[in-house]
Amino acid sequence: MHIADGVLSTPVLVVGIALSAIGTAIGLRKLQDAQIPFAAVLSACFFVASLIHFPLGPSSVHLVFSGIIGLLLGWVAFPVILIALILQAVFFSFGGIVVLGVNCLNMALPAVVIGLLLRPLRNKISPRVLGFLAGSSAIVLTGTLVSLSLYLSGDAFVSTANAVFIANLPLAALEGIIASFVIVFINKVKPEVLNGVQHHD
Amino acid sequence: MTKYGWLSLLLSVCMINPCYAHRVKIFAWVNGQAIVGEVYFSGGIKAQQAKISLLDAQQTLAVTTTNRKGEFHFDGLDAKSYQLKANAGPGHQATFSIDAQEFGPVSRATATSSHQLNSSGNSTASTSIPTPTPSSFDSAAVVSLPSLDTLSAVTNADSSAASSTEVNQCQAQTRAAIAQAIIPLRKQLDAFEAEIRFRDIIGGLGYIAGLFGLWSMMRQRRV
Repeated sequence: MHIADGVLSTPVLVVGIALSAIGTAIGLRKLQDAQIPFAAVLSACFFVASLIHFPLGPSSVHLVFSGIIGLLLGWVAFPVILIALILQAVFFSFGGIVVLGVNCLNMALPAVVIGLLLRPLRNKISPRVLGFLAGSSAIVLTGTLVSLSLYLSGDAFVSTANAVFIANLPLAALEGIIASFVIVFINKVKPEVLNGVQHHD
Repeated sequence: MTKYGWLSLLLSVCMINPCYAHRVKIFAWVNGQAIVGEVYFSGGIKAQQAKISLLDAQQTLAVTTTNRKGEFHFDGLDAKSYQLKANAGPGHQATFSIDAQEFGPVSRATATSSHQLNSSGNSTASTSIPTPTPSSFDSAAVVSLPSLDTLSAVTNADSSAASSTEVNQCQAQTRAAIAQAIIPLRKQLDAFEAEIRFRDIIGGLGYIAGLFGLWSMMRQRRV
């Protein structure tokens, strides 16, 4: 998920930074005071999720949790993910500083889309299904965006997209299952988060 | 209950596997006239089928892929500076540079390295050494290092052509032997550098708490 420095072309990097800045500005505007501690906890979850890491075929994958963040916070996913990504880049050398904008966009935009699409369904389908859909579709969307950024930087789209999809489908299933557990857990322990946060905007 | 629920969720996430991470590392060294190396994700998982490019001043000379153990090699190379670029799947890229000096002037030195290291040690003992190392604890590598200086000093004094080539050869062999001997150490250092440490994780979480706390504080002051 984290694209390294030196892979992408300059226009892609610039567009990524610009769009991430806009997304973060919108997210900060939408961030309500009552949400701040919750946003901090989700940011911390995202920060450590990438340390949980599975060998998978020739490569290896890690959890992302962007689906959960999008479902619970919507646009606020942008600042939440950006902060965690900065710290991952600084502490763990995941991704890089220049490529931060693109990485943030690739992970936060799917989160926002999922928030917009799945929030209206939250009372119609069970939390288990809701969680699975959020977790897995976030990974698929992020994989698509990663392929797209690599393609726009000169990689052959079909081979890259294939690689990303093959690598990400099992991860999407795994992330879906974990997100499903998390949403069920939140629904039990703190249902007002699922409803209340969504209620505000 | 809810407080502890959140805390346990966060902690369980932390505890599953705190030492794994997602970052590609490439490490390579010179073996005779070949460059040998390996590609791995930090956390130690080997990167299979990663594409490795050998570059010389931005020009790709050769391309290979890693085997099942994440290893690769380029054979029959001139003693020059090279850059290695590893591409392990979408967006995962790492680079490594090899300095021309690592090749050493005599390639066959590596084959007879252990024997030559001893002989250079002996020659050090026979010529006068300013500071003999008394402790047996600092072994071969320490003894052989001052020998280079001593030998070249002797050469300058004698200025005989025959002994000069001998000394050059000796130096090259010693250098190759040392290079060979420290490869495991360099590997270990490289892996150590890639490791995720618990204090980094805790530090990162502290930053997140602090930043959101700061944001919260600013908001309160404004109202």
